[in-house]
This record gives sequence, C-alpha cells and structure tokens, in this order.
Amino acid sequence: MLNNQSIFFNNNLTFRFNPFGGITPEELNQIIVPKSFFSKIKNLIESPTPIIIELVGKKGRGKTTHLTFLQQLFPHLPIVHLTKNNNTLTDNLFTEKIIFLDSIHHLSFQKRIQIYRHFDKVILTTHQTRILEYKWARQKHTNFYFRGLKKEDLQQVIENRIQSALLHPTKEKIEINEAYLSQLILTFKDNFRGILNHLYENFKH
Amino acid sequence: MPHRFLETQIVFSNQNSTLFPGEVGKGELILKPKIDLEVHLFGYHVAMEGRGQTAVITKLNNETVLIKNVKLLKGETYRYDVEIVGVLPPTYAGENISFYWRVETFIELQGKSYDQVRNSLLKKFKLLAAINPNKKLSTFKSVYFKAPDTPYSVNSIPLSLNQTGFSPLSIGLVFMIFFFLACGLLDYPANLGAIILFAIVLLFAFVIPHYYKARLLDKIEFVANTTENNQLSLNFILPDNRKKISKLKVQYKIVEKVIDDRGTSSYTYHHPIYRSATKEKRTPQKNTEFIFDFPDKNTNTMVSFQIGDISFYWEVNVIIEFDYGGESTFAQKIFVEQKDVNWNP
Repeated sequence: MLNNQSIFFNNNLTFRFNPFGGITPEELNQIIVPKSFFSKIKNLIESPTPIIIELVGKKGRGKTTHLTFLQQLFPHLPIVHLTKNNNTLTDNLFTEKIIFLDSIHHLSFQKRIQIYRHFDKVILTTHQTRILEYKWARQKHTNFYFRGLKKEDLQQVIENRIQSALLHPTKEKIEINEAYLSQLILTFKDNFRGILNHLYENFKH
Repeated sequence: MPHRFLETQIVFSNQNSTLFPGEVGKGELILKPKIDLEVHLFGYHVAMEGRGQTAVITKLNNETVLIKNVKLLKGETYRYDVEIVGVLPPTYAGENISFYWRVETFIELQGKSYDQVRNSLLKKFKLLAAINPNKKLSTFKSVYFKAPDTPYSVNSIPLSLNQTGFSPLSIGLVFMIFFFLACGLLDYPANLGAIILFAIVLLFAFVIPHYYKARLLDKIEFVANTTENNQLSLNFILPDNRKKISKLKVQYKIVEKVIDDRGTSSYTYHHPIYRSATKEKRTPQKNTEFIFDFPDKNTNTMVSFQIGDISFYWEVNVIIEFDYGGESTFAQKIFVEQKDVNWNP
C-alpha cells in the first residue's frame, strides 16, 4: 500500500537529484528541524563545565545528523565519524579540549575511558547509554534520548529536502501528501532514516 | 533572490556540453555586477557530486582563477573564456548512487563588498547564508561526461569459482538450532527416539547433499578474456569427474555497490545494473568456452571501479546441474577495464 504513491502533489517540479539521499553539510543547515533539546545541548557545549554529552537512540533517529549540525555551529572544534575501517583517533586530536565523536562503539573500552578522561567535553553518539563507563571514568555526564517523530517535523524536513533538490528554487508551496505521511509514520514509527530510505527508493524523477 | 548582487552566465559553444574524457569544451563566463564588487578572487572549477543512499562525495577538477584583486563595476559586462576537460567517472544515473558534474563559479569578496553582501543577507534574516556570503554569489551549470569509447579489456589470470551457499560453520549452526528446537518441542528426554529421527532427517536434507556436492565439485577453474571481436570469453576447465555434470549455465552481471556509513550503523546495497543473457551447455567438455557480448556502451554501465564507499564490480555466476538432479551455484568477480583508460588512478 505504501508503494507507488508520491509524497508530494506538485507536478511541475524539476529535480537536480533524488531529494531523499545523502546531503552536503550546507544543505543540512537548510533541511534539519532540530529537536527541542537542541539549544540545551548547545548551551552545555558553550558552558565552561567539563561534561560528557551523550546522544543516544536506535539507528536512524537523527543522532549523527544532530551531531554533525552541532559541530557546524562550532567549526573550530573537531568531529570524527568513526566506522569499522576508520576507528582510530589521530594524535593531533588530543591537543583539543572538546571533541565530537560519532559511533563511539568502534573504539575499544580502554580507548573510550581514555577519551572520557582526556577531553573536557565529549559529545558522542551511541545506540545504548554508556552511563556505567562514564561513572567508571568518574566524569560528569548527561544524555539526550532520540526517540519519537512528530508528523509536522517530518513534513517540514521533506519540504526542505524537496526545496534543496530542485533545479531552480520555487516560491510555490510544496503540497505534501498527508495521508501518505501518516501511513509512513504508522509503518516506520520514529525510524526517520527508514522513512527517508523508503522515499528514496520510491522517488521517480 | 537571484542576481541581486551579481548576475553570472555560463555559456558553452557545444550546446549540450557533453564531453568524453580528455575532450575539451569551450565556453564563456559573463558577469554583470548589480553593485560595485571588490573581488579578491574569482574563478571556476568542474565539480562532481555523487549522490544517493550514502554520504555525498565530491571531486573537484580543473580549478581556474580568472581574476585577482579587481573591482568589478556596477552596470558593466565582463566576459571570460572558459575551458573544461572531460574526466572520469562519467555522468551516471544509478539505483543507489548517481554522479552529477557541473561547472561551478567561486568568488571571494573583500573589504566593503563582503560586509555589504553579508549585512544585506542578515537584514533579510538569511542567517545561515550570511555565514558564507561568498557562497551566495556562486553559480553553476550542469555538464555531462561520457564513458570512454575504447574496447573493454579483462585481466586474464586464471580464477577459480567458489561454491556459494552454506559454509560448514553456518550449516553446523543451523543444525544445532534445529536440534535444540526439536529438543524443546518434542520434550527431551521422553521422546529421544523422535529427536534422533529428526536429526537424521535433517542430516539427509541439508548436510549430506552439501558435502556430496562439495566432494563432486567444489571449485572450477576458468579464464576470462577478450576475443578479437571485442567479446567476453569465459573458458571453464572442468574437473575429470565432469561426467556427473549434466549442464553448465553461465551468466555475468555488473553490480553497483554502495556502502551507507551515515549514522551509527552501516548498510551495504548491491544492485545489479546489468545482466547478460544466460548461456548453457549440456554435457560440457573438459574445456568449455562461453562467448558473451559486452554491454552496449550507450547503456548506463560501468567498468570495475571504486570511488570512496562506492564501487562497481563484474561477477560471473555459474550454475552446475548434476546427473542426480541437484545443482550447485558458483560466483567469482572479474576485473574489467577499458583499453588505454585508467579508471582507478
């Protein structure tokens, strides 16, 4: 039932690329609808108190997106996207006081403890909370849970994505298929990435 | 708000701006400032964007600076010659990745002009654009790069096809799971007899056929090559117990592989973008050759090639049917390039 439907009704739009795939950091600025606790995290980063800030949630809920966006507000601070093949931190990073770390589970336990102790502030993403590790490292910590998805937010993101993928920007209102949007939330719940992947696969140029 | 500060036009003499690798395209860049602009640097580059189910990848080429420390005057028209060279990878519209190329201008304002543009953006609450006012004045035009026209070439080292399907370890695991399931369902130890019977059935259904097939044939050697007529030759060397082989079925495919590393988890997409016809031979000889056409260059295909998390591979798939009715499947990658072109620098 979800297939063969279009998420928008406008039929005169020309796209430069599929709006539901990967985006550049600049596009992210125009697309993201930040979570309500976003400014709280920003204030924590700006405050002088050392702290570990954990963005925690299941995959596809927007942790990495928010981490990337946050870092763009502090462009002088380093961000490392760890992966299976890229799981080391270079020595020069350790001269910094604050670091953004995506997918901390790619590091070993010892390395993680070392990082919690070394940096004044670590802003990290993880699937499960690592409270016990922070306690082990005797560091102050706070966490922000990524769960739930508001229909208005999803709609806004989809509109923004369509706008930024157009060949020529339009003043026309993007008419979103709201019934379809509701079905997507029913099917995928708060799995934002799942919804975007589905829209990517069903997008017709 | 287009053209509020600077109108930029990129015009190519070649109407559709389509280029082969190495081919030169000529055009013109026309600037019409709407305000006086103090320019520190202005030029253009050719940029690729790989977009799809993964993070955007970009590649810059051909960077050319046209002016340095010049004041452009309001109302004047400035014209510059533009020259771009076609490069690889070609423009490509795939399933989980697409490559787009464009000519893009870049500008660095200085002095009052920078402040003027930034303040104007701030006044209109374009806060994020105001972080980099220079970006606001850049523009682009899409160009299309074609794959080279030279014949395909295949590395002709002998390869062996490995049997796909279960590994002994996974078979063992499945067997264990079924066995414990049976223990639970059939109330161990009261029905020990039934459980042993179940285990024997499982053994006959899964494990024995697998090892029988592996003993019959667990590897086939083959050599991939290009024929004089620019076709793909796959020459199979079958083992001596080939009498048990009743049929050999062969096909090759080109697969687009995209690793999505966005976020805290990773996913890999394998999408076949081309499948050859399936060819078969009954009671094959010890040396059996299959000749295939290469895909038409007009179709959206790729040679063996990798860029970042994106790669394209060619894979030979073989199905062998045995006299007793069973069949085994085999797969092996082959490396296909184009003559005189280096796709993987």
